[in-house]
Amino acid sequence: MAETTLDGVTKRFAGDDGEVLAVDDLSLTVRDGEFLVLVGPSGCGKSTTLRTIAGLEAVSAGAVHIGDRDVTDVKPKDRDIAMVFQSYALYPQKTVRGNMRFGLEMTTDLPDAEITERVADAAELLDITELLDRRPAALSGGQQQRVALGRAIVRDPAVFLMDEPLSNLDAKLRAEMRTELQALHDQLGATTVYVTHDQTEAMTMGDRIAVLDGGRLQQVGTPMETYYEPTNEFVATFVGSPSMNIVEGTFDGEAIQLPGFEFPLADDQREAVEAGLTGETVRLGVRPEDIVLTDETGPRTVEFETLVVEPMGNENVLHLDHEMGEVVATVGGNQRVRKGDRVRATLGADRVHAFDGTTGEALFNRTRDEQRPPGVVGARGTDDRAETDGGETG
Amino acid sequence: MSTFDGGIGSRVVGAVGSARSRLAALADRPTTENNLVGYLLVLPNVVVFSLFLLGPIAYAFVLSFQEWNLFLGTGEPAWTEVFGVRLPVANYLDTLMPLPWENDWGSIRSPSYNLWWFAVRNTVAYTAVVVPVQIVGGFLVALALDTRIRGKKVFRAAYFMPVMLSAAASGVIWRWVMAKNGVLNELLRPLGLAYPWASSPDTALAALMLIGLWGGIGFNMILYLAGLQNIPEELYEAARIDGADGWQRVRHVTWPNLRNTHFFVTVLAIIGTFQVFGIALAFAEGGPARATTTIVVLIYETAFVESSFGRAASMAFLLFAVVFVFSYYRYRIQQQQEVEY
Amino acid sequence: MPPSNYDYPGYERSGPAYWSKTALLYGGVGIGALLWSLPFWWMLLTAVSANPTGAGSSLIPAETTFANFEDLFATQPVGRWFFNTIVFAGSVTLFNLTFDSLAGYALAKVEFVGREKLFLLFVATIMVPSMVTLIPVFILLSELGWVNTYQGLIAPLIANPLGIFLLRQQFKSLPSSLGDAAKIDGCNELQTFYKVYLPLAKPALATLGIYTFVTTWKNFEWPLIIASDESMYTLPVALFAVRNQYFTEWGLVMAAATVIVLPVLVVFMSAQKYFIRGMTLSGMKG
Repeated sequence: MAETTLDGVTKRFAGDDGEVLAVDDLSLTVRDGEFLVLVGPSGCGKSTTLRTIAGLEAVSAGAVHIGDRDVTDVKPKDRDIAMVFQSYALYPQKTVRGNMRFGLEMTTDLPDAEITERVADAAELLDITELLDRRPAALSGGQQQRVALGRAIVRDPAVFLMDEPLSNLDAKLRAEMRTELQALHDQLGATTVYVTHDQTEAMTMGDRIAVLDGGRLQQVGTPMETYYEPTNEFVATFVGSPSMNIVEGTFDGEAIQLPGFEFPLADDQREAVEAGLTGETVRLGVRPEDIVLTDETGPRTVEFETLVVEPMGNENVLHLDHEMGEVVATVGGNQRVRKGDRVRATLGADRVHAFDGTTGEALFNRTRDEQRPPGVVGARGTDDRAETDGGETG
Repeated sequence: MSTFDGGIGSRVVGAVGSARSRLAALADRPTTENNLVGYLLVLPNVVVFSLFLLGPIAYAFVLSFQEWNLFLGTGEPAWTEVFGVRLPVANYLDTLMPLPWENDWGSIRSPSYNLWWFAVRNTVAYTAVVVPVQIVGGFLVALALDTRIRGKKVFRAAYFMPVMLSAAASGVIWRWVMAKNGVLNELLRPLGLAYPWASSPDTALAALMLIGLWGGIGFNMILYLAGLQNIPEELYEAARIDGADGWQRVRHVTWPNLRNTHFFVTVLAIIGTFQVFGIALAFAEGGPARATTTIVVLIYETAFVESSFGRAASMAFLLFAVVFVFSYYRYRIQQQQEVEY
Repeated sequence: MPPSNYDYPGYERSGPAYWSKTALLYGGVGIGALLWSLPFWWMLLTAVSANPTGAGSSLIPAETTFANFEDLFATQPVGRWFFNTIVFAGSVTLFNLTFDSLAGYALAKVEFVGREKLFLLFVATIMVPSMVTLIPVFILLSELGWVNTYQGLIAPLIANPLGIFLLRQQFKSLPSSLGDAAKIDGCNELQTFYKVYLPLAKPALATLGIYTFVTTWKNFEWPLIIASDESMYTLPVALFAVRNQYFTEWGLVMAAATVIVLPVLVVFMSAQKYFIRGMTLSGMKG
């Protein structure tokens, strides 16, 4: 168990035409016992970052600390880490038991009995005891996944590194494993760095999320922070599904002028824009669930034409057309809207985000108004993530 | 991400940042270690390649410009005059002169003018017949065996067995098959066609071609069978929906989709037949009347019977020049296939 | 290739068209296969025929005898030739497997400076006709006094670009995440090689091993040049020599041919799969 720190980590690769900057001056602290998710689109540098923590890649600049130790030049085996690979990387020629023992045999002087015991314990924990004498080829994808986890757990490492461990599973199993991994993390309490491209996975699993793009760290924070208080347009559109709608307009000192629509600003919003805007253009962001259908008209209501309706069961996703562009809105699954319907919707005054048109930085975010729903009658422990905020934003 | 998942620690270029991190980048130990391990692992092969392939190629080149005789000693440049200029190309000139069209194409018709050109004639004739026939034959057998035919493995083994034989064995066995009282004449005698196939200068080269085909068809069959496995089933189903009958499917799906295999097989066959040696030596030792003296048989005799190493080296390089062109294409294909796998 | 799925409307498995096609297919392939096997049959027949010149043999033997084999073994050091050939083919195979798996792994999985160039250099030597290098290698081995020795027979054949190519392909096809996992589990580069990757290359090693063994076993031109003394002959050279010695005694010569051919055919029949795969992958030298 240890805090892990990346300090100005930079990684360049020699590409076909010159260098490729995979990770650019990334600084990040993973707290002791925390489950931190590195998330971003493919090519954003998240796996490379994980591999520099593992020691599978040498950093071009910067330093990596695990606990009190500077491990920048330390070999993977001496870093006190364990890793779960996307492809599981189980040794096909070894049995499950052999796979789980291998790391301990190579890196420790533990007596045979002790290794056996630790393998047995880990197998018990993961419910794979009856698979111990099989070979990986004879296991299902989900079982291989468990073995890969088991191989990491027996090492009892200070830090668990996981590189898209669930992406080769089918949707149902993936959802199950998400919960199980979280339970496992709660039980072991080990520091975990988890890489995924799937923002849903990031939101549901992470104590905190670190969003990467183009090799740069965009934001670190709790899932709710990244959702409600994105630091820039990239984070805003990457987190959440369907994505946040973005409409480009200009700021005229009072309101945001969008094509065919004027969005009036509240005082504090106007001040924030005036303080932060670097150019002319402002990009207004609003999440699909914050476009609310209404009978009333008002300064923030807009009329749209319905292009497509995607029924999802629990909700209907509407693709709406307006002069300002196509936007996506969600309504309840029992709200029947037909293709071709004209609908009126309001964009709540405190429900919108605004981003600088040139830099993409957030000018203001929507207000957070999370509340405890009725029916919560008591609490166990202190783990109530929605309320324990306090991530740093960077 | 996948962009970067491929390689372990590639070259790390000098870093910007604190002095400490700059040092870390320069002391990029995996790379140094990788270099060491890499060179260590290839060392045995580097040694044997240098000693037995690369060095000898260079030496053979030098040799081809020298008088060299196992008994008379070494190293004198083989001087001769070409248009008044003194050059060490006597070996090449001795080999190539007189040119084939002199003496009214005499050296093509008879081995007595210039044996090199006669050997070239034999080799080219052998190649011209064996290459197309063994390719078409191999393709047809592969096609036939790739159906629902029963006993596929037995048939495949029957056609492939000759490939397993040493050239010495093939040559000797066929010598007896085609002997005066061999099995071939046993079968042909009732038809009145018995003939000393192997010992007549008129038929010996044709007999040699037959031996080449005996092995070549089985070999190409295997390559085509492999090629056929790579044609996706969907293409045949699409062709069926488009109304193509059996023959049209072969013509419009099978044949064009084997383009890579055709190329590969052709180049391999050309390289192989140009260097035909073992079966020719074991079958008839280059005879009768030089009828089966191919280029490599001639090189072998020049070097290891007459001990004229310099002269033989010059012939080997002339052969190399021809084979190189085809080998180059073969290599290119192998590169392409590597990408595909 | 007609598709493997024949169970579709319109595919008739009866009627004159179907049967004539089938007859043509089996007839053609069958007659071809018989013709292909004929020389083998003729070899066997002559070897067991009572008449040493083989004259007057017919396709069905009247009586069989092992006299030719007894003669052969009595007059010729066949055992020694067998031993030579096994030592020759076995050593070349072992050296090839060892050296080429090392190099193949390095060229596929270890990043070192000049890797691609070195690989190109190795593979480019496939282009060189063997006659080019035979002469200088023979001179080199004469200088070393290695003519008519096992080391002279074996050493030059250890340089095998095809083996390097084949094993590099094999190692390349194995996921690099296994190597990463091994490093995290505490392996250094060499341990990663022999503990993790090498066991996984077994199919390719088997393919290359059988392929190399058989091609070395049947190699004619190199032993012909380097083994001029009867005691150093390998079987193909010995057959050639026997035939030159007993020119008209075909019974004896075919007995010798049988002795050479049979083991190869046995190996082939039992390991057909590996051999054909090796052949296919490598598209070997003529």
